[in-house]
Amino acid sequence: MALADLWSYIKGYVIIRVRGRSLERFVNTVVARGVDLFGIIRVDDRSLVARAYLRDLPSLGRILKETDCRGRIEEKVGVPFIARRLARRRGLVAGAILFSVALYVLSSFVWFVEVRGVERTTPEAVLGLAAKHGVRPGVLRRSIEPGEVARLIMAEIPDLAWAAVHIRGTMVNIEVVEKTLPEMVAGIVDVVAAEDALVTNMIVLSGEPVVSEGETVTKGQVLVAGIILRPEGGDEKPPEFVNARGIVLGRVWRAHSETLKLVREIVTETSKVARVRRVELGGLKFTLGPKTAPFADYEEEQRSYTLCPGRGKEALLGIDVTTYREVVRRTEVLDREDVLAEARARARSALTARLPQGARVLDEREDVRYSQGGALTYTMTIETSEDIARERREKQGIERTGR
Amino acid sequence: MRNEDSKERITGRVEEKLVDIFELPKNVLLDMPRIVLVGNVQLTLENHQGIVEYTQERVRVATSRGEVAVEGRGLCISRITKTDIAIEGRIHRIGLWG
Repeated sequence: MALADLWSYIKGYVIIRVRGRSLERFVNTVVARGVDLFGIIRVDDRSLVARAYLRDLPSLGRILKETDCRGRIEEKVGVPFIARRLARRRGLVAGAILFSVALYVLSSFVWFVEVRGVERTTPEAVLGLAAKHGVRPGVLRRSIEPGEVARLIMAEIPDLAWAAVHIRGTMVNIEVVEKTLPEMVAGIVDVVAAEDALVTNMIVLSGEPVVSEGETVTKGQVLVAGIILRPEGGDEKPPEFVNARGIVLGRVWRAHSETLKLVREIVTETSKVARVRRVELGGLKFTLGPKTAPFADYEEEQRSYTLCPGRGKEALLGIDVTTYREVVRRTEVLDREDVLAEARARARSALTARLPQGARVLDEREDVRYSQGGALTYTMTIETSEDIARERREKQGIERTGR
Repeated sequence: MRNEDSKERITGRVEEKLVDIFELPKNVLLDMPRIVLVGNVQLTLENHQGIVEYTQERVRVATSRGEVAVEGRGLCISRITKTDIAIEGRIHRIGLWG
């Protein structure tokens, strides 16, 4: 339907208002004559609004007369009418065309050049270089080859790690990324061992290796020295001082022992209870009931009540109650497997907490020993491969004794 | 006159029979109105013979089989040619007088 609407818009049509007594007859006659009528809306009893093509207007006029109706053109819609109106306003059309052309022409030039991402280099240096290679305000956009310009800029400023040239409308955007140089620590930095380990692999990035693969090292031992005593190019050169850096893979063994008892003492109360009360009155003490505990094995509990507090530390009237509860003690032998499992779990969690990040577990060993006293000693050893290199700044002035 | 009438009627019946026998579409050969209704918003009627009444509430169209009355609200004739008529608006009822 929309397509038909568009077609009639292109062809151009008029909206007419028809008044008369017999509008149905008017419509029928129009149709019978082969005139297209569309969008007919009955407004009220006496009038309707309809759309008709421009070329049908003369025949419509005749039909109006025949059917005794009166018609009036309300609106002219469509491309032909707009074209006619524009033809009358040449200036407007010329202005519009001129505007479009100007917009097109002006937008094909570069108007602005912008540099982003410079920190150490100045934007002017980059702009100057870009201008040298044909990127400056006023040049044609088409004359710029972004990839080529970016490559040239990068080639001429060695400090740049990356450069790109984007054309965004009339703006040229030069984006650069400067190289980030590694931060140098003042003074000599050695690489030392973080743990006691067996060195398996060494990658020295800078500095002089002091140990070699296969050697065992202790915690804190220097692995890569920050002093190069004999730099390349001859013995007469003075020693160089560098920040030693490297990756040193080593095997590290970590052990943890847990000693757990295999027996457990169980204390059970027999419900036999004896109480000894001592009354204290002023400085005097009376004992009520048995003086000592009446049981062979017992647990005691003592409570003091001050009934009437005295002036000093001593109570004026107080009672001490000691309760003796008879108990029976027996020992229970625990299941060895359970105790072992408990020890293993404890050792594992203790060891895992000590493992550094990135450590690769190579091996796990366990050792169980039973002692005479009914205890179990469980030892777990975890062998890992990890980077044991740690950078350590050396105090200046200390003479190196190594190679 | 009467003779002609009956003659026409007889040929009409014969035509109808033939169309039935050969299962041909009736609207094509017999000038029968064909009504296409899209939801309750558009009605297209082919083979009409003129508008009898047209208001926004009711459109009556003459066909070879009698009148077709469309009732509703805000009815408008969106397109009309010698054979076809399209009515748009809220259609509430369609009456067929055969």
